[in-house]
Order: sequence, then structure tokens, then C-alpha cells
Amino acid sequence: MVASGAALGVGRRPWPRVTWQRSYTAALLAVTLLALDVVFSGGTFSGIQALGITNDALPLALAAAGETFVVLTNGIDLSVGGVITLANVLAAALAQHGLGNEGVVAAVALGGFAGLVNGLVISYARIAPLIATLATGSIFVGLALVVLPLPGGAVAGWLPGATTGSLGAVPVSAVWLGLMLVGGWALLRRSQFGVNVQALGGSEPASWSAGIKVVRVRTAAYVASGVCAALAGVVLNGLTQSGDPTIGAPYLLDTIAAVVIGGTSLAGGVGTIVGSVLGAVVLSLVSAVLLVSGLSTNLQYVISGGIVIGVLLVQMQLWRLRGATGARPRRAARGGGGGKL
Amino acid sequence: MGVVGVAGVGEPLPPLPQRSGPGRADAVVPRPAPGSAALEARAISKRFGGIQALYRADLSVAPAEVHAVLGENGAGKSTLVKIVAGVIPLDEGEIVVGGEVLHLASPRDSQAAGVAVVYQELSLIPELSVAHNLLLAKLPKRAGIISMARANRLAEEALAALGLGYIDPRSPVRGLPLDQQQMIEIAKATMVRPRVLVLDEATSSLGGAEVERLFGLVRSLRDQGTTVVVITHRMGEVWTIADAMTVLRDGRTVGRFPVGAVSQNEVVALMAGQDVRTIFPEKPALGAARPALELRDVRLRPDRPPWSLQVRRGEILGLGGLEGQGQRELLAWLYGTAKGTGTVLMDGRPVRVRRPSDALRHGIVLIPEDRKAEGLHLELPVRWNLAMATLRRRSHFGVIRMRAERDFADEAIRRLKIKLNSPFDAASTLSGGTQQKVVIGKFMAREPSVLLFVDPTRGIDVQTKFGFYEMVRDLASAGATCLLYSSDTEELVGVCDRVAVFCDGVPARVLQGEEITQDAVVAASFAVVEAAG
Repeated sequence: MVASGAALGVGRRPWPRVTWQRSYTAALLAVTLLALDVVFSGGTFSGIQALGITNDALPLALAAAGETFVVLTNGIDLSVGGVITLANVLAAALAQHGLGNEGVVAAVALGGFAGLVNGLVISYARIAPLIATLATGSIFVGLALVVLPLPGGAVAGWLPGATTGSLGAVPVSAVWLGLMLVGGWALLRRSQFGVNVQALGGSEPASWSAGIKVVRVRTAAYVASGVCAALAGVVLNGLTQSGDPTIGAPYLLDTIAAVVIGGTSLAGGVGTIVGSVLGAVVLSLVSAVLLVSGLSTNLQYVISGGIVIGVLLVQMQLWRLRGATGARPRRAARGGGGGKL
Repeated sequence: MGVVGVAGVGEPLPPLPQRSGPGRADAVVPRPAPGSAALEARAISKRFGGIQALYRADLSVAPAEVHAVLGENGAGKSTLVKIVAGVIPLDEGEIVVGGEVLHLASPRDSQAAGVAVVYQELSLIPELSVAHNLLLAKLPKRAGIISMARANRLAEEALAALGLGYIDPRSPVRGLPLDQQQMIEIAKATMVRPRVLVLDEATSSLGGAEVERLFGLVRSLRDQGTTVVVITHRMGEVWTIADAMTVLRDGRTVGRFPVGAVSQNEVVALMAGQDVRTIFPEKPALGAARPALELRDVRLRPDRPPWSLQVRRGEILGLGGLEGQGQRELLAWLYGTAKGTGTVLMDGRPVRVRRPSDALRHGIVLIPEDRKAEGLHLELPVRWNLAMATLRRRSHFGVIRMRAERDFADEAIRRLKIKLNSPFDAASTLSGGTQQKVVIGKFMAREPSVLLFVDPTRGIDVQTKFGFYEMVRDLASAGATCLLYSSDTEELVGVCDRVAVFCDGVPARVLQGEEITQDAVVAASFAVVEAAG
């Protein structure tokens, strides 16, 4: 890794460089995989290929971006799969009754409500996020089966175009991904909410004593995750032009994987949405590369898993380098009492 | 036992008897008339599990005064600060700032009342930049968008005003040295222009120059009308910076004086609350018992000459001297966790200890220094902690017999006089000294013949120390051989039958009987060069 000296020492402006470093891993992987994709497809890269990759990446990137808020607060949201499914079937079912627009709005609102439930259960019932969201996720999947027991439903007329279409040669989904990169950066670096989320994950007692409304920030992070997961479900409705009560399940682990590949620490406090979006792109590229290389696409899970471990190893190495120069020193807690020599 | 004022758990603590001397000097400073004080804490009580951290403690600070709060570890200083800051709720009493009774549900409430606190533990967020930390909840925004340029400029100005212009507001806090982090913490507190600034042990990680700068800052804040409360146990600082002081002991306010009115010695006596002599258990006369533990030709450091030492049954041998002279190494070697050469004989028979399991088999037990990390499962009940080391003895085919476990734990609690509400209290709710007793209780079931103590009372309050010393003496009288390393000379002098003063891996001088005085131990520690020859 290119761990530059400035990122390690107390030099001028080390702060933007350290954060850049974290998402850089995902960017590097994405570029490498893209190059592999081009090589395997004989030196060409068609618009269709690009469309396939970005369409595949968009829902995952949305879910991962939302998950990033939660992970930054040192929590985890395992209900994203359930929320994706529920939003997806709700939008599809309402569209079938001619309520396409209402379906999209209802799905997103439901995602926000799901996040609110998560946040409140975690904050007030003090149930560990892992368990709380695992349970609510199961409830959401169950509700989805009630709404739409079998794949089917319809889609709002404009939705496929807004998700899978192209603007000239540029896939619409690529535009959305680009907007998410910019918006994600701005949200974390330029909004009080973003700073609060990072502060909370960095140290809850410190945030609290600094006057940050911890419960509100944490709940907002889960709401953000719920809304983003619901958007992912709506996008999947646009992509498949139908609803499917099993569609969200594979997204759960991929979402976490994208966040981790993107360089966000599962211990909270550090990470970027940019990284998570790139992480989602990396995972989509893995299956794209396998597809063009002629290897079985079933290998994608093996490779994705390997990438997650590899990224974590790299990050630990970076952390160790950093620790050698400026880790948090612990204050020696010396007892009082007289008679010291 | 009656010497100490610790009452049984579960009942309210009786007020301390009125003391003569400085205790009455309360009258010397008339308290500010009610309502005129900048900050007042009235009859604050707070209990954590089995520990009464504060009992009707009072604090009254006049406007534009630098007021020191003094007390030993565990006296309740930090608890009082946290209550004033709204970090922890109080059980009883009230906090009054500027004549107004505050209802503190969170730190926001105290901040709104103009109280800013610099905590003992750093409360910065390491991954965020200095500017972020300084302005955290109030970053400058335009149309909801944070302007980092303005934030950095504001932070830069604030840092420069405190003479900290050399700190880059853009650097993450994580990379900065501890003293700089501490100064940033102080900058953060003063940025809100508080009416009352509380510094909780703010100087403990600062060097001389920073302390000077901090004191300069405190003075200028006071001159501008800010009230400053300084929590410290550095006596000298109080006389340098404070106008008045409040002394806490065992969660009670035991005195309030202007700085000129009392001497440092008087304040020390008030903080300790008892004559040092009386807190140690009596040393019985040791007969000419055969040595229970014999060390022959020991070399802890290869370049030093070998030495030998004998310890009798029932004896408490102190290991003294400056820190790092081989005392810890000796205990670790005896326990099989450090290297060394030599022969160990127990009751005349040589034993080989290469790892802790060997030591335990031979009845050698080491009470670790870091009881929280090495000795206890903090979240588990005391009863389980006690039973844990010897589960197999009370199991049938791997199934633990609950009744045997209960009897065993109750017996240990009784014998070691462990103060509890219930044996099901989590170990984390106990005070340091009581925790230390639980660690010892855990090993007692093995009926050890040799106990190795590594600085056992570090960070333990005076009251609990006494109970601890008494327990060590009881164990020795029951036939155990104790080796006690302590960084506290007073403790060595008070507790031990003999004291071996170490220098560079060798016991340079062994003091016994009347020879053991604080002066002699200190002298031996420093006069080691000739003594070690």
C-alpha cells in the first residue's frame, strides 16, 4: 500500500489524506477489476457491459451507503435485506393496482419507518443492534410475504427508465452512482449530521458530553439506512419490473461486504460513503469479470469473500503503521497515596 | 477495625465525628450567602452499587474564584464533577448555578447553564480533526452546509488565543501527543465562554511549561470573571493557583478554607482522615520458624552477582526500593512467567517452576497488579468469580454442585471480610480494594502456602487498604508466606516483618524489626551503590 509519510506523521493536512486512503483501496480494486473485465472481453468495453455493471451495482450501492451511517455509529443494520424486500413488493403490488407513484412513495416512507423502529428499539429498549435488526429484518421479510406471497406485481411506468435506462451512452444508473459519490462525501464532511454520526461512533461518551443528542443521531442513522434500503428495493422493482418476496436476502451480506471493502471500520467512527459505493461497484465487477472470463459465476462468492478478508488485512496493516507513530496513548492511571519514593 | 469509619453496606453512613484542628476551620471562611455563589452543590449523595461515592457532600464556589477540590483517590472528586456536569444523575441534593437550581438530565443542561468541564479521561474523538472536536456540536454552517474554512479559522483563532498556535486545526486528534490533546480539551471547554469552568485533574498529563500556560489561562479567565473549579491531588498546584479549597474524604466534605489559612500538612491530614500509624495491623513476634521459602543463588539479571534469601512461615517480606529494580521480576520468576536462574526450596525441598501451572501446583499464588484485566471477570457475580479458579473440586463428573459453590463463596466472603450487598453483585460494582480481595479469595481455595503480591493497593482508597492489610496479616498468621512488592514505602513499613530493598536485581539491604522506618527504606533505596558493593 502507498502509506505515505504525511498520512502517518503530524505533517501538514494529514486528515484528508488518511480518509482518502481508506476508500482508495476500493477504488484501486475497482480499477483493477475493470481492467480485467476489458482484458477478458478482448480489449473492448461496450455500453451494454457498463450498463450491466452499474445497474447491478446501484441497488447494492444504495443499501451500502445507508448501512455506512449505521456502521459509522458503531452499530450494524441487518434488516436491510428485509427492508429491500418489503419496499420492493410494496411498490410492485401497489403498481399492479395502478398506484405506481404512490407505491414508490409508500415504499420509501416504509423504509424510513422501519429505520425509526430499529433506532428506537436499539436506543430505548437497549437491545444490541445485531439482534434488534436481525429480528426486525425477519419481521419485514414476513410482512413482505403477506403483501406479495409469490413473485409478481408491476412497476410504475417511469421507474424502469429512471433506473435502467441510458442517457445517450451513459447508463442512468451510472449517473445515480456518481451523484451518490458526491452526495455521500458532502453529507459526511459538510453536514452536522455526518459529523455527529462519526463523532458518535468515535466515542459515545465524548459525543454525549459535547452535547450531541446521541439518541437522535443514532436513530437518524438507522432511518437513513432504512430509507436507502427502501430505495434499493424500489430500484430493483424498476430493474425487474416486478416484485419478489425473496429478492432482498442476498443483499444483506453483500451490503456489509461493500461497506467493509469501502474501508469503513466496523468499530465505528471512521469510514466513507464514497468507499461503500465503490465497494458495491467492486462486488458487481467481480461477477462481471467472472462472466466474461468464462469461469463459473458461482465462484463470485468465493472471490468476494477473499476480497473482504484481503481488504481487512490491508487495513489492519495500515492501522499498525499508524499506531507506531501516533496511536492513542493511554493515560497512566497512577494511584495516589503518600510515601512514594 | 473500629478505626475506620466505613459502615456496613446498605445503611446510610453516619456523619464523621467532628475533628479538632483544621476540621473546624470551616468557620474561617464564611460561605458565600446562599444564592450569591457561582456554583453550589448542596448535600449531594450518590451511590454506585455497593459504594457510597458521595454522602451529603457540599461545594460552594464564589464568583470569579479559583476553587480547588482536594481528596484522595476514591474521595468522590470525580463523581462530584460528573454530577455537576450532568453526566451522571445525583441521588439526593441539588446543584445551584448563579442562584438557579439546575435539573441536569444530560451534559447539555449544564452547558446551557454555563458550566464547561474538562474531564480526567480525555473526551476528544480521536478520528476527527482538532477543529471538529473544538466546535463539534456547533460547527459554522451556511444554509446547513458546514464551512470547514470558517471552522478551521475559528479553531485557529481559539488555539492562538491560548498560545497553542502550533497546533494545526486540520490534523486528526489521534496523531497528537497527549499533552497537546489535553490542551485542546481545555480549549474546547473555554471556547463556549463558560461561567463556571471545571478542570478535573487537567494537569496530570501536562509538562511544566504547559502547566504554567494553563495556570496563566486560568488566572486570566478568573480576572475576566469566570469561576474556575480545579480538581487535583497535586498539593503544590493548589497553593499556586487556587484562592480557596474544599477537601473531600470518603464522599463527604470535611473542610473548606481560603488557601492561606491552612498548611499543606494540615490538609494532608484532613484528606487521609486518620493517623497513619493506626491503620496498620499489629505485627506479631515471629518465632524462629524454619524457612518456608528459600531462594538460593538467584540471578534475575545475568550480569549481577547471585544472592540468597530465606522467608519464614507466616512472614510478610516486603520488596522495596525504587521502581524497576527487579522486585516485579522476582515475583514473576517465582510464578514462572519471567526468566531467572537459581534454586527455590519450599520447606527444604527444591521445586521447579517453569510456568504458572507449576507454581499453582506447589501452592504459589500471584495476585496480579491489574486486577481488572488479569484477576476478575468484571461482569460476573462475585460468587462466580470466587468459585472460578477451583470449579473442578466442587464438580461431579463436570457438573458443578451449586450448594458447594455457594458455601465456598460465602465462606470466602466471610473470611476475607468482603463487603457486598449480595454475592450476586457484579465484580465491576465493587471498589478497587474489595475487588482485590475477591481476586485473593479466588485463589484461597487452593490453600496456597506462598502468596506473591504485586503492588496490590495501587489506586485503592485508604479505608479499603486497611481492610486489605488486615487480611494479608491474617493469611500470614494462618501460616502463609507472603512476598509483597509495593511502590508505597509507607505500606512496606507498616505491613512487613522484613523489607528487602532492591537495587538492580539484587536485594541490597534487608531491614527488620525496629530498623524498618520510612527513612531507612528510602535511604537504602538511594544508598544502594555502596550497599550492593
